[in-house]
Amino acid sequence: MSRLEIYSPEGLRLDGRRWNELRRFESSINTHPHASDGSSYLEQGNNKIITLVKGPKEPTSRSQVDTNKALLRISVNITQFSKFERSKSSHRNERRVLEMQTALVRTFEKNVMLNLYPRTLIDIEIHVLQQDGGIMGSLLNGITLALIDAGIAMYDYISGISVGLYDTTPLLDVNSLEETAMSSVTLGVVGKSEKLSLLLVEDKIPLDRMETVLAIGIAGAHRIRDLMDEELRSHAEKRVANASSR
Amino acid sequence: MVLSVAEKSYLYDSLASKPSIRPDGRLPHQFRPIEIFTNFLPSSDGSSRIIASDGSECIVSIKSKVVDHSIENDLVQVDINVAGERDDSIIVETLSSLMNKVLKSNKGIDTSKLQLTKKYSFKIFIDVLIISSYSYPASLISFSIFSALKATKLPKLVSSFDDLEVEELPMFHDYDLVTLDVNPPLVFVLAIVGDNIFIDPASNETEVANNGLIVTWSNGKVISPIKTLALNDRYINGFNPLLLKNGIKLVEQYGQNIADALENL
Amino acid sequence: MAKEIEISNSESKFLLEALRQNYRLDGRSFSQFRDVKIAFGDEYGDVTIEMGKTKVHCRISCQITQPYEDRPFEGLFLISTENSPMAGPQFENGNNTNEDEVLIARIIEKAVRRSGALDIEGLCIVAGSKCWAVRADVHFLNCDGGFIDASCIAVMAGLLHFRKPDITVHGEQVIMHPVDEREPVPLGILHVPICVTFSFFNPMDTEENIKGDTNAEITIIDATLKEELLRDGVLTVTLNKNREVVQVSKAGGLPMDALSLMECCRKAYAITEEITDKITYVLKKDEKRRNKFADLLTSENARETS
Repeated sequence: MSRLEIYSPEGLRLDGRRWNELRRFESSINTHPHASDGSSYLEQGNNKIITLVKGPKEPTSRSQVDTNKALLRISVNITQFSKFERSKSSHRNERRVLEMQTALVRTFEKNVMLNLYPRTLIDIEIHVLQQDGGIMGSLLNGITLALIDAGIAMYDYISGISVGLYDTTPLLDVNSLEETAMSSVTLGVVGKSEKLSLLLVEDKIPLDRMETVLAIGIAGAHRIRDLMDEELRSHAEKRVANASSR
Repeated sequence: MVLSVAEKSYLYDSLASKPSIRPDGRLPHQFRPIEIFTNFLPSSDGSSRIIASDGSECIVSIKSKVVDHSIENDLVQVDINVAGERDDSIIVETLSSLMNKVLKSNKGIDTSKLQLTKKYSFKIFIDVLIISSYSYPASLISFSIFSALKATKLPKLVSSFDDLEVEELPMFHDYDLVTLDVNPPLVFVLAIVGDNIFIDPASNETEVANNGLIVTWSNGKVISPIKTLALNDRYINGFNPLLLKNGIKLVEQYGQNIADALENL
Repeated sequence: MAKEIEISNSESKFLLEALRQNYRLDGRSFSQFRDVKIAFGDEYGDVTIEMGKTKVHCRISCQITQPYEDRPFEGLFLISTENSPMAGPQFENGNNTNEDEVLIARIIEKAVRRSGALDIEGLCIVAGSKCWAVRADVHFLNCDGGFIDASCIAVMAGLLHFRKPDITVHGEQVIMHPVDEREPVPLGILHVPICVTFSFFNPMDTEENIKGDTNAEITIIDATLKEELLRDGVLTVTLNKNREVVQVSKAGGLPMDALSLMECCRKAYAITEEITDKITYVLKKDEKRRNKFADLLTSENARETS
């Protein structure tokens, strides 16, 4: 296989973006009003993710009752057809997926006002229909949108993004080709602040480059927050218009 | 769906009366409206997403792989995944055995259409994901498999068909695709209430059904498997064998309309 | 059923109040790593690490097997982390699906295996048919926090200490020489990753943490078990002496300012250097102990003196 040119001397990436450009980001909320209390459908590049929030509802078993706050449960279903090559085995119960679920729960536990919903269960179900790099960030975005649709109280948006480092150039919002070719950092940023709720680095990165990578990531995450905010506001406007025209 | 005794009794009586009255005013052979989207997953060869009016939703992806059909004789594989259910739960296992039976019978998917050369064939993987369902999802699944297969486009073969003499691997055109021309069977779920029979029972209708029928249809004919199905655990009892005939007739009469509707999206 | 450790209200209040006043229960400063004791066993690749009351044992072993079909030029490397009730009542036998245990296993896996600390291509004997399979078994003997840090040091010290039997290859045939016949050979270690875990505490309310800009969160290094039970967030940074960040994991928890996280990484680098030097020093000492008579036996020595 010939080596692909990840970043051309002219400053273009494989899919024609520049280093600081996001992928196409399209989202919609309230996509599954019958099946859930809050839902979102997110396309970030070729990542396609359905998120369903069910709850706050009565827990199914006694052991899940917490008298002080709601219990948050997240299950990630990465479908076998989500990658270009179909995977032979189901991803359920894989350690990587369990780790993702734990990281997502711990991220949102601190951001959702769980103390407002004691004795309840908030169940989040995610279906990854297609993945193309930076999946963890997209999951964060999908959950944020669905939680807002469900009307669950949160302190702020959490927006997720991955930044790769190609030699010395940080590349914003990596796709799967770029992700396999270089090391990348995943960030979960709280609202418009510079606070990171989630930070994952899985491959080697020079310590002295970390700061620039984080700075680019935070800027990208703020942009995603704005895109999500726009979508939510336009959705709300539509709803208000529908309600008043009736 | 939780219904009170009074609601159930009212539902049962109206469904069992002659002529029957369905709660949403449908005729016995009438389906609820459905929405279908196809080919929305670029990394699959074919895909479809079907949403019923009660919010039941099913996503199907078709992927293919080139295999040597003298070694691999199973050219169709169906995997069913129901959100919130384990892979070994009863509903998942019964649905996958039903769909495997339907698609792999000799009236199912015509595997000769998958043959590429004398040695190689496409093997197709049908992955079904049920996001939510409120009534027995068998017909929802079969409709979405049908529309996904109809929308499936596979790479076009450019190397020669005869590869037994000269050993070569199949070669494909860079971008030309051919439509997969198969006619998968459709599965219909019918509910029996009293002496009446209904197509596409809604969840409240299944609650009071005396029995359920699964009828498979392909190319204008009713084919096997045909079987009964317990739709609830309270009202189930035997039914007049004549109703089986009525049910088959009903499917034979309207099956083609459904297939046409699904094909001409 | 594993028993969750519960900490009493008065004890937790005491500990948090002490942290607010810049004190830790064991008298360490906030950025002080516990003293690491590394002890080697009689055999190669047998290491016990002690950090305060935390005790981790690691045993490296190897055998010849067949490589994976899709990777004919690579050997096998497996790290298994085994929790048992021996370490503390919160662990269950044979059940490794607990959230924390999955995270521990994954982080060690990423820090050591995925980062390529061990040269697995060097484990290849005959491409496609024979290779070494190196196995690191980590056992947690006593738990007082800092499992990830301790087991990472244990695995790396073990790998550096381990010697695999020497082999001779004749075509497809491989002869393995017993350790007492021929000097065994060390493994190829490409870099030494060291994990440093930071724990975060929020001294104020949640609104201040998310909306405020005081950044008053308390950060401590190498928490003990009690501190681990009470912390609001955790960050594990893995670095090596080449100033490379090997792995960072902050899986949720208390949101932290990006700059303070960078500060953590820098602090971690100083600790990494310290621990790497310590490992090298201990290894050298062990080597000397093993080869008591080396100085007398080498001919080089004789030449030098003459």
